[in-house]
Amino acid sequence: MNSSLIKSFKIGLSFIFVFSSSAWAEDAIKIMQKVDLNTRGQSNSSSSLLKISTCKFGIKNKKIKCTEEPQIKSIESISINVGAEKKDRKSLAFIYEPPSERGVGMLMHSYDSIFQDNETWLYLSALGKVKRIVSSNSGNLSEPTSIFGSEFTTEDQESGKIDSYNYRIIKKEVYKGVKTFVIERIPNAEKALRSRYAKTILWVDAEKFVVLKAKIFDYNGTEIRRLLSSNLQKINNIWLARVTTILNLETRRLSSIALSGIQFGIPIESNFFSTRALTDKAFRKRWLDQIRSFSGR
Amino acid sequence: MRILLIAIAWVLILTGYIVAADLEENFSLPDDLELDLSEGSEIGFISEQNFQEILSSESQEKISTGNNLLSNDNKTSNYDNLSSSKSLLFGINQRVTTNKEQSSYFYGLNFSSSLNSIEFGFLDFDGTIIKSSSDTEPKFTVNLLKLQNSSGDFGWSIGKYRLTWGQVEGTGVLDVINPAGANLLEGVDSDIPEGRWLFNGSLFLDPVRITTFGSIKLNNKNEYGAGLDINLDPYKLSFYTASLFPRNSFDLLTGSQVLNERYNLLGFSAYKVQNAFLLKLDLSAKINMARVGTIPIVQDRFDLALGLEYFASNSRKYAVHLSCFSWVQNSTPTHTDNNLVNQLEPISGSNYQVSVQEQFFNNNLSINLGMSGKTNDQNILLGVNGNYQISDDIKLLGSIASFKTISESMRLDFQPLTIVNVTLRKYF
Repeated sequence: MNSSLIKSFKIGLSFIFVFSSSAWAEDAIKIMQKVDLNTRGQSNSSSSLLKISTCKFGIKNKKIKCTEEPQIKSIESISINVGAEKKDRKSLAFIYEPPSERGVGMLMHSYDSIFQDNETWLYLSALGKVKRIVSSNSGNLSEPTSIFGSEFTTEDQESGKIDSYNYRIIKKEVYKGVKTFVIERIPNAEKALRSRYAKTILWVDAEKFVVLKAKIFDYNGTEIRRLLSSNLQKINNIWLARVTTILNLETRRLSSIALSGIQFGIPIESNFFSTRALTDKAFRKRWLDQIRSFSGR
Repeated sequence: MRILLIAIAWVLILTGYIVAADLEENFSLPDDLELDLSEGSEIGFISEQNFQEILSSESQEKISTGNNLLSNDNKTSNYDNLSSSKSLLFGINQRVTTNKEQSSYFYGLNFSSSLNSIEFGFLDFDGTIIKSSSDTEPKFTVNLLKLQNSSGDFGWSIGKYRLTWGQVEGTGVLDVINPAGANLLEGVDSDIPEGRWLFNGSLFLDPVRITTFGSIKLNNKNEYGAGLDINLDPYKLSFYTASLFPRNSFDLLTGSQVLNERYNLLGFSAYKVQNAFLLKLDLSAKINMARVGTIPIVQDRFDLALGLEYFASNSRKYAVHLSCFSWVQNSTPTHTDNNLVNQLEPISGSNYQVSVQEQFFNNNLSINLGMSGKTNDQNILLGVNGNYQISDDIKLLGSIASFKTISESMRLDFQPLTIVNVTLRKYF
């Protein structure tokens, strides 16, 4: 009798545990979908002015500081969401500063589907040709492409691909006075073949659905990167972090992207995001003038 | 000698790895750290001003709320011009042969500018004035003077610029209009190599692009051609046809000799991306090309190049290029003396190029180390070029190219040659 009761209790407990785990997993996916909605909202027909600062960092008195003069790059980025559900993204970015890199451009197409690799092209002025470069096709033995030589990679900037991961809420935590969900993200078998990141722990703002902090681990279980976001602001009904910093724990370098300006709803068409925009300056200038005119610049 | 050169090359690479290894040891970051990039730094010499600009309340005003918003910062005017810059350069060039050593230094001014006119289009200019210690007068070179405009799906450009065909850099299979040459021999005194006087028109019908070009020459040696690109990522296919003149009377790497007579080209190139690999292919048929000999003969030549690039990391890339050529006789020479025919270069040949690109010191130092030569003899071209970003606006560029003749049975008389070039460039 007792044995039967205990058995029934165990079964019931297991059921509750499984049910609650499943419910939490479902919640985790919903949270990440909201995060993704915010992230993708930033690239929806938008023009951004960015500054990427990169330096070697050190720690003193529990504070992370640059230990050298940071290298700063001023970048203009234009992006558009495309596809049936607007889950794919096309973007173009150009360096304005420093002078030695002025005019360098990069074209990126990122896809929501795990079965379609992201694509990146660079214009090589010395050769007068556009070169396709390998990006976001990395495995655990190689890295995704760096964004203009910074510590940010195309994989760090990836949006979508929600179905490529399994999620689990680890706990709820107050982080820097903000209620957060602490979520574990693990790539599925297919994504694992194309990612250097074995696991990511995310601190997601429970109200604004922005990732405030992320710890990224490799396949040895070592934390290799940490992402920190700050200066959250609601623009065009989208919560975004104006400053995003990535710390590369392997090289001990950090890069910080600061959003200097952003314009939504720019008049841009999908055909702008082609290799033609890298080589045909008249074509590019016509579009950029149109965007700037719309932005009041 | 070859072993010694290879050993030196690898010592250079390994030195970089040892320096880099210090940064790659495991490093754990405590959980409760604050990011402090704005307050007074007690570590090193932080430039706080830059980060304060990012984080300050003033910069907060750069973003307003609502649908239409953008920075009101005056600095955004810098974003209007993508390619107007100038730089001062100073350098040393040294050429060493078995017989003599020549040294010269040079200094100059490089100026790039872009003008935009609604009526005429977009004008790009890049020119360099260089005064070398071995020259009496300064030398002015226009590297780029290109007027470009477009309307709808059609774009055109005219002026002096580069038009590069094919995918496999450093081979003469399809890169024949103004060849970039081997990576190992690229000069460092100009960011933009000298172009050729051309005009071209392009029709963009995504994912297809049709391009035609013609050369601008005062003599009757005009060149013209057309290309068709089909972009089906991860594949890209290109087809070419042209009527051309050979650029060089002697191609150092292929070892073939051709006369400066008109020939016709049919070409095909393609690439495919697979994981961290980029596989490239160039194929060409050069029809009615005049092959040098005591008595020149007109023949067809087939060229093939395969390239494989492996992106090991953001700071390291490996590349292997293999190319080969084969002459196919389609007409009988005026003299059929076997001895004369025998004086021609071999009917076929192949060569290789292996290179490693590596970045050190937080990506401030970029080194490209390579080796190339023919597979059927012991010629070797060893090259190292690199650049070091001293600061945001100062760059140090250097290259060493060394050509060695090891084989005693060389049919062509090369002098072993080493060229060293170092340039310091200040951008404004």
